[in-house]
Amino acid sequence: MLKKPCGTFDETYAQDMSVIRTPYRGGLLILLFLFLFVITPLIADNYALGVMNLIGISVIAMMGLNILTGYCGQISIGHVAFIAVGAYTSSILSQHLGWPFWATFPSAILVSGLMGMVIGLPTLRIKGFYIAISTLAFHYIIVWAILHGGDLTKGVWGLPCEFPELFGISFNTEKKMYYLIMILAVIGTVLAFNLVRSKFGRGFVAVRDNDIAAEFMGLNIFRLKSIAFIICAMYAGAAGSLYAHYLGMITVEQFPLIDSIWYLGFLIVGGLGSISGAIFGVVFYRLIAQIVLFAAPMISEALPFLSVSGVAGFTQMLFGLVIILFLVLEPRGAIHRWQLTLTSFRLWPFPY
Amino acid sequence: MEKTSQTELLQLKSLNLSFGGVSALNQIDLSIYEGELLALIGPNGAGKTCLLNCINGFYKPDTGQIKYKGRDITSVPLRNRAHLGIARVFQGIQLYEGLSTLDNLLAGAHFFIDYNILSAFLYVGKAKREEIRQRRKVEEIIDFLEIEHVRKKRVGELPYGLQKRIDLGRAMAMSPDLLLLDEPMAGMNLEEKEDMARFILDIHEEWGTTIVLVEHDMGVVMDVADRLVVFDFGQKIAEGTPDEISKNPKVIGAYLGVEV
Repeated sequence: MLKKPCGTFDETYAQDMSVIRTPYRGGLLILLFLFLFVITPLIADNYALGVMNLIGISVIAMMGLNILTGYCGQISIGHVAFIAVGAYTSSILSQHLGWPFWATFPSAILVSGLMGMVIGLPTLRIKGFYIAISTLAFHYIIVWAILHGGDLTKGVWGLPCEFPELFGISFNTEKKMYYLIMILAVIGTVLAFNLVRSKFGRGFVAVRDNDIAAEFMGLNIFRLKSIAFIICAMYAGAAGSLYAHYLGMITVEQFPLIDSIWYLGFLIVGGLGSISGAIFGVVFYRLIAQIVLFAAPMISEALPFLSVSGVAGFTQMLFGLVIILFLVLEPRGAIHRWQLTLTSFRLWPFPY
Repeated sequence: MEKTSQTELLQLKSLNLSFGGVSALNQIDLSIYEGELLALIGPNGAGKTCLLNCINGFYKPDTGQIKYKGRDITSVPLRNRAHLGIARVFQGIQLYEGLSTLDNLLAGAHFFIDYNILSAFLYVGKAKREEIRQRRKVEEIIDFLEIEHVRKKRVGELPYGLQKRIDLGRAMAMSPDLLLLDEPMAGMNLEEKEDMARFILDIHEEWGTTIVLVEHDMGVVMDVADRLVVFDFGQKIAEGTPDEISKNPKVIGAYLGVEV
């Protein structure tokens, strides 16, 4: 029902290219909107909203990494550093200069984007593994800069950051923040979705799959890679800015290197080069974390030799296991498996 | 083939290329005329692919000059030569595996599609119009190559013969004036070879594209080519019509062999 029935053909190319191809898809989208903006705020308590807020922020960050790593094939392990750049830009502007949210948010995106451009420059000469290492270096440069930023970043003490204020509304509760984050996450996702089906998206995949052939075909590889880096950094900047304004306080410890690796893990689980896969990866990880958190006291009771905090560490082990299982069993991610399932339902009972 | 004119589309003048001590191309002089189907033949390692790479701009010749449409393009970089209308079908499969057939062809037409990143983000107005306009052009090629049924399949999942055809389609999407085909029929069965030969002839005749074909299957080459150029050890040893070449003792000795 998500695809048109056999024998029904599109009559124009615009129809064939449209996203909402059947009424069911439109219905699903409306349901999703209802779930996000009506049902969840109604039934969720503050704790659940907090989890959703973190998911929303991660989704925004994820969209960027998905474009850079998933589509363009450039592995970045400096993603959290870009998020930190966004977060610190926002905090510094809001703390030292008293800028409001509507000014700090775009500034954070811009500053991150500029950083992305600088980091993207070496990609002219290097690729693959080496690009990953250069982004790793970037992470340490940012951490060093934050720690030695003096009054600007307040070193290890961290910086406070105001709650966002827009049109006279202060987003000072979880619920208000939830609306803001979700609206931005939806916008970010839609923009990313459009980008990857445009000529730029095709160019990114061309660079990923066969960069030499792409150059023979007249594509400007360096420009495409730079664009991917800049967009990735801008998404990270947006996520970082929201994160800072949401938490109200940031320190350098909130941006550990390991998170960059987890982001890559989300991508693997969800499926490289797929928007819905990227979202799935993030949601899946947060859910595992919550399940482990709830189950930890029970497990600890049943197995007294394990402390509660010891069990809580299972999240990372569990997710590590999940990543390994995906790599072995379904390297193309959950989204690929989902599409296979859909297709087999559609074709049943025929083999093809 | 009366369409073959005497206007030179591409001129190679005393081209030299060597890797280390090995001379890959040695004083090559060659003219390719507008609208002709020229075949390059010769044993493996004779320098055929090297020559294509020089025309494409992937290799820069050590000395010599390449003139295209009367303009010296020796120092024009790879990417810009595609914009000038030089397209290439590679040896083996060099497609963008993660993209669908349609997207592979559209990626071939990448530099014809004109909109900026902002409209790409919004995907309304110009972006959408341009995509539809390009789609119409690409659909013609899809129709021509008879690959409608795999239009939306990931090319990585398709059989070799089809992938090769899509590779040809992607090159056609660049609307080339000069199409370089590097062993388009390698590893194909007879039926697929016949199909491919038919497509090549059709492109040549219907679209008037100048084609340079590198191929080992002598049966095909002798049938489709207007003119042949024979290479051996980086040197051009003969040039002429299929009839002349098949009787040329130098070529028989170096490549064709004698019937026993």
